[in-house]
Amino acid sequence: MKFSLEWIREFVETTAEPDEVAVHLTARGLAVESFETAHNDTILEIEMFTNRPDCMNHYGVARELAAALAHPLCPYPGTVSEDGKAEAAGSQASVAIEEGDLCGRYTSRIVRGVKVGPSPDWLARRLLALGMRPVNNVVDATNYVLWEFGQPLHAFDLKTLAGRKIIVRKAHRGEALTTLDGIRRTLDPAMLVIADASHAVALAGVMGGAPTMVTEATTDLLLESAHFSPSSVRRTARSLGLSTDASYRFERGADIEASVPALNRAASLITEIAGGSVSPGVLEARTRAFVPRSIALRTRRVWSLLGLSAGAGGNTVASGNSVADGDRTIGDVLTRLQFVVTQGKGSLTVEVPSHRLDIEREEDLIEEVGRSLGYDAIPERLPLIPGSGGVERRGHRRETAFRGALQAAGVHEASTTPFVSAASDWTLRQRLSAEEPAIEPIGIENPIALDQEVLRTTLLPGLIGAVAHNINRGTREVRLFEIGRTFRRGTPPPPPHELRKHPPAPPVEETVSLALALSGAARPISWLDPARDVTFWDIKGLVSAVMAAGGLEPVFAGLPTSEALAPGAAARVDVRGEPIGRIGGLSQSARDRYGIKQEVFVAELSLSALWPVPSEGVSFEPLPRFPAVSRDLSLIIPASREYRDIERTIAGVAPERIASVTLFDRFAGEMLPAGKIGAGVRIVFQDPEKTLTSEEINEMLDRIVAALGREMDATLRDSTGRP
Amino acid sequence: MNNDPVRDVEEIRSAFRRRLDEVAGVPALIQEVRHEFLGRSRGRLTALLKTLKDLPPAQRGALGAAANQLRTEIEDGLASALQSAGGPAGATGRAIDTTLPGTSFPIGTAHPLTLVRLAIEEIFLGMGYTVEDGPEVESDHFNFTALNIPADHPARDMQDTLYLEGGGLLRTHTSPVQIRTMLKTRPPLKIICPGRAYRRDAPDATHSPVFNQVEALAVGHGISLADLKGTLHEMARRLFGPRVRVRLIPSYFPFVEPGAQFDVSCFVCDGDGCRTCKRSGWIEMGGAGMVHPAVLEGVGYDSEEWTGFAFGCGIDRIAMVKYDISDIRLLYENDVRFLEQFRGAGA
Repeated sequence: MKFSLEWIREFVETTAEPDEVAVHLTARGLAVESFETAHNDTILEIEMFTNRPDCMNHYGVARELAAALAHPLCPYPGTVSEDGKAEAAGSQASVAIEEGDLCGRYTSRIVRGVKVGPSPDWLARRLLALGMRPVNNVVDATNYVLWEFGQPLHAFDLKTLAGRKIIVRKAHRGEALTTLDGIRRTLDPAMLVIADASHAVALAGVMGGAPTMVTEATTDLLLESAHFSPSSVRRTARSLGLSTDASYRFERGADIEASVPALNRAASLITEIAGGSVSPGVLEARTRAFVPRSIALRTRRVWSLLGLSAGAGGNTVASGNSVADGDRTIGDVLTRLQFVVTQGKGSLTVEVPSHRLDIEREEDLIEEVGRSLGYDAIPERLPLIPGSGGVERRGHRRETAFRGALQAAGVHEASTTPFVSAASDWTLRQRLSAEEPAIEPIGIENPIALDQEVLRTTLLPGLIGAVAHNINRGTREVRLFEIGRTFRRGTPPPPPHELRKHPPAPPVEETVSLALALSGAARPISWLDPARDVTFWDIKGLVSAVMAAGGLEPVFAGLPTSEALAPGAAARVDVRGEPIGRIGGLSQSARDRYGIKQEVFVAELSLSALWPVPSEGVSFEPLPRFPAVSRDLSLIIPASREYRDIERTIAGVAPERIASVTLFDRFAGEMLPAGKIGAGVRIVFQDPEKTLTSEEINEMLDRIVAALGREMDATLRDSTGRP
Repeated sequence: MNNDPVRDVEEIRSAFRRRLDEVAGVPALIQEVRHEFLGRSRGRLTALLKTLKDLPPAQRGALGAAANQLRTEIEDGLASALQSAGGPAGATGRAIDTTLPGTSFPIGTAHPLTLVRLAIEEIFLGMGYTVEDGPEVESDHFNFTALNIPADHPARDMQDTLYLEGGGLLRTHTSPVQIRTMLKTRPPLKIICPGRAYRRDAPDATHSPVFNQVEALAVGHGISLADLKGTLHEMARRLFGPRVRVRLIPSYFPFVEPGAQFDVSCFVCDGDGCRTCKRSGWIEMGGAGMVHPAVLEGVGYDSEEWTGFAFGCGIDRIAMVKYDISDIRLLYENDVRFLEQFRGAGA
């Protein structure tokens, strides 16, 4: 909000330079963001908080500056000379309030014989400097007072008011009003209006009406200075999508005692610049008296909440060197802010002035003292709070293990937004079993963009978007993971006991998930190793390794088909019999949606589902005391056989003596019969109790070959490692 | 061992050649062959050489020459086998081209937002704080009302909220976690709650509809603004370096009273004024204050007995300042060329 320093100086005598003023105001909570000097004036840009409507005008800022500098504040010139010979205002017009809850006070003055025309230069310049457009001398005078004293005012052309009556009432059903901006608005009965004997003539606290506005033909005025309820003005302004300087202030709370001084100031200013005379008397209707709030302020509480000590030694406030001095300091700073302070023993009784609507309780006064003394005076210490020591977030350790394993595997962590299009989310989401209920996304009522209208039910849309982003920028090798939340329609878990009396949680199920995407080369090009692209088995191996790092053993199972993953190249990930995720190659149609030509392999796991799953415990097994012997078999097997069965068959021959079975080669080609593939398998034999002899190993190999032939239709191609 | 030592040499030679063929291409096995023939205690050639001293001098000379010749042959054979296997030849004294690029082990990176979050978690875990978590989809009650922001309060305009079909909203700050935690915990307590928050901001260089916050809450006996200031300073020192200072400036947030904005002296220019701090010497970090008594009373705490401080700051903002990132959108674009730059940033 803009303020003129020259204008402020009309109320507080100071020669302080603009930068000095800026420092003082900022330290008190009126943050001066910038200032600019032009034409013998400095315009300050001050950040205004919604709780300080009393500062949204020049007199209010002057009040703060005066307190900061300990200079006197000039009384507000809220008086006017009435024309004693003129007819009393009360016999020219009347005001009445029908809605006492929404309007606490309505005051009016009548000014007759004005000559409407352009404002004098000095006034127009001031308004222009604040970014206001001058209209005419009467309207400008009301705006001037708003910016000077914070009270919104309105001037009616008295002659246009039917019955010369002002009634503050709710709009009638179907009533319409053309407002000052020329728009004809249909009003609803919840809106508070100012009406004359027959029509609504203004939207209370928001904007006046065109038919009763001041024009060049106007000679007699009815000036309005009223006090409307913040919520009423806010509702009207919101429902009409209209925000004005007046509504802005009323919404935040106006000073009910400012009505008459502002009215007087405006009337006086109008007669000064537009001529005319002020009829004797103020027309007033009032439903709410101002009763100053009185707050007991315990000085010990002040010091303990601010962390300052009042007495000598330690961190002493500016002038205080005893408790009594400290208490006096509190009284002084509050008095400077126009609080009425009565000193008591160990506490003060503080009466809150009418303009300080934000001061409701002791803590509010403590803030006043704190900001007056300056937060720089507050010392630093660390809180002494007994407790059991830091506790990490649920799932933190496993998440850290996963993250570490993924980084070691060369995967970068991504962070994507949860706003996705319903279509891409639909393509990429997938139930893990036929029993799982349909996944229903949560729509956003007011999305940021039309194609970001739902919350993701899967992390894949964002992650695959990131893969596409990278490929489009020439990065072909993309390895990304994300740990984030997904959202679906569901019943949230029943609230814990302490939340039972609070409103229920929205019907949303939140899941913390981990997703990975691999695309491009499996490893950097190298002079030592041949190049190849990532495959299904890379994502499978990575998921196994990552889960092992998190103390979990995944089992890969079948998965219902979906749009997301290429049919036949997808698997479900189970842990301890529970489905927790999926892996696979992205389907052609999903890749097309993102314009990705190369293959992308993805995985998505629910970390929330893993929270209750304990890690596989570690129990040390004694190291083998007898040597292991490895032998390789080169097999020819029907291509239709699953490798898992080969491995099981081999291990089944001598479970206690076969330490491992590893596939080290797999090939197809012309040298093999049709429908057959070659497989090289390394078998490690080891006995816990003795060194195996060649005879024993050969005997087992023979049985393995026989079993493979019998059960898997496999034959030996040749053998290595045999004598 | 034969009686004819020269035949022994021939036998060792052919055994070596056979073994070398068997292990071709596998550096580790080639090393085993070295031990088998040249090993100090059990090497076959070593053993033969040990017998030399027992031979008559006439035989000793011829055999010594033959054995040493074999030794050279074995060493050369091992070296060339190792070289063609791509393994180290150091043991043989033969040079390899050490300037050839080492095998690439591309280590992945943690996201800068994670780095900052974990750094802050570590600072506060060390000070005995508990890290709390809460839902991102919230009710109006926890996001606003319980934080002293009633319906129709102008403070709601400060935060443009994303509302969800079927009820609920995306939390506009992580503060609801404070309420949830206080409801389930008796004072005293010290917590931080890091997490995502959402506002209906059009994305630009400094705004993102998704951002990350961390908030701290400490409730105890006699907790004051001094505790807040000291805690903020400790966090700032650990994040930005030992020389930074903090300052509080009065500000307004409905859920704290007194309320403040907290700034950190610019760690780039030490407060002299530079591009990072926009020449002000200070970097605006977040909001803070003493927990409003209405908030404490709302969760059933006696505000006479207990006082507390709370503060919140943007993890995105800290990451941007700390790593000199000029555009917040980079944090959500996931360009690998951006992410890769954070290798080692957590060290």
